[in-house]
Amino acid sequence: MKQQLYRSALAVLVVQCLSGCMTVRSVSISQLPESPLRQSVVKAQTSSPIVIGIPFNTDYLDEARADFVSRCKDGAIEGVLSKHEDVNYFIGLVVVQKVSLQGYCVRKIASVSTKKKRKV
Amino acid sequence: MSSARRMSLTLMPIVTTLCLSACTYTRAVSQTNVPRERGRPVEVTVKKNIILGFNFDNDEVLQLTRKLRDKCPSGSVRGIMTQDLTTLYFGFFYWERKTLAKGYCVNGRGVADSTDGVARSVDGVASGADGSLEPEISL
Repeated sequence: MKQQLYRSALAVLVVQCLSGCMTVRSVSISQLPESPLRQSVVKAQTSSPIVIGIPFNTDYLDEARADFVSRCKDGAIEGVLSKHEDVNYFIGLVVVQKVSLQGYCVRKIASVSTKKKRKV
Repeated sequence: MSSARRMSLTLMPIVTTLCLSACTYTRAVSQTNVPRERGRPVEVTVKKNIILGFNFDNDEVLQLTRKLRDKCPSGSVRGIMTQDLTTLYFGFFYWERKTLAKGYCVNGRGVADSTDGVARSVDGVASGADGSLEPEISL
């Protein structure tokens, strides 16, 4: 009976250690473009590990931004969703910080017409 | 030499290294719309030192807007990425909170203009650059 309990506990522990739990740290979203301009989706994602509480760098944020911007060289990027999350492995001994950026590359120039409708 | 003394001699450099080194953690990230013109990048930083975790306000982040404005006096700043970082020194007794904002200075245009090639709505009312209430997008 005792041995069975140990086995069950060990199985739970192994599953806990091998699985990764995700935690969202921050999210932001900017203004979305009009629907005809949402054709081209651009994405960028980078990550950096923290091992036993020791992080190695914060450059992954700049790398994500540079990669994101480079994916839409001749246009503007609208409707940007930024997500910063942590993935915990081995009961938090290893944490992978992930930053994801997603938006719409707006290449064509839209112009606002000068329609003036005023009620007299 | 006793085993306890040997152990403490081994642990001492590890503890010293940990105390003198600093770990930087990311707390939050955000990114706004990126403009087409990216010729003039601007970057500002605000910092705050915290001892033993005691912190009574976060007002330093309010300086970010003023600093960005000063870096781009005649234009608007677009494509802003903010990073909120915390660096821990001396075994977590001394913290440095740093907030960075990186963007692009775009020449003299307001949000209501179609600078990024998109007609925009301000305050929930769609309006063109000329103030018309019914914008029309032509591609």
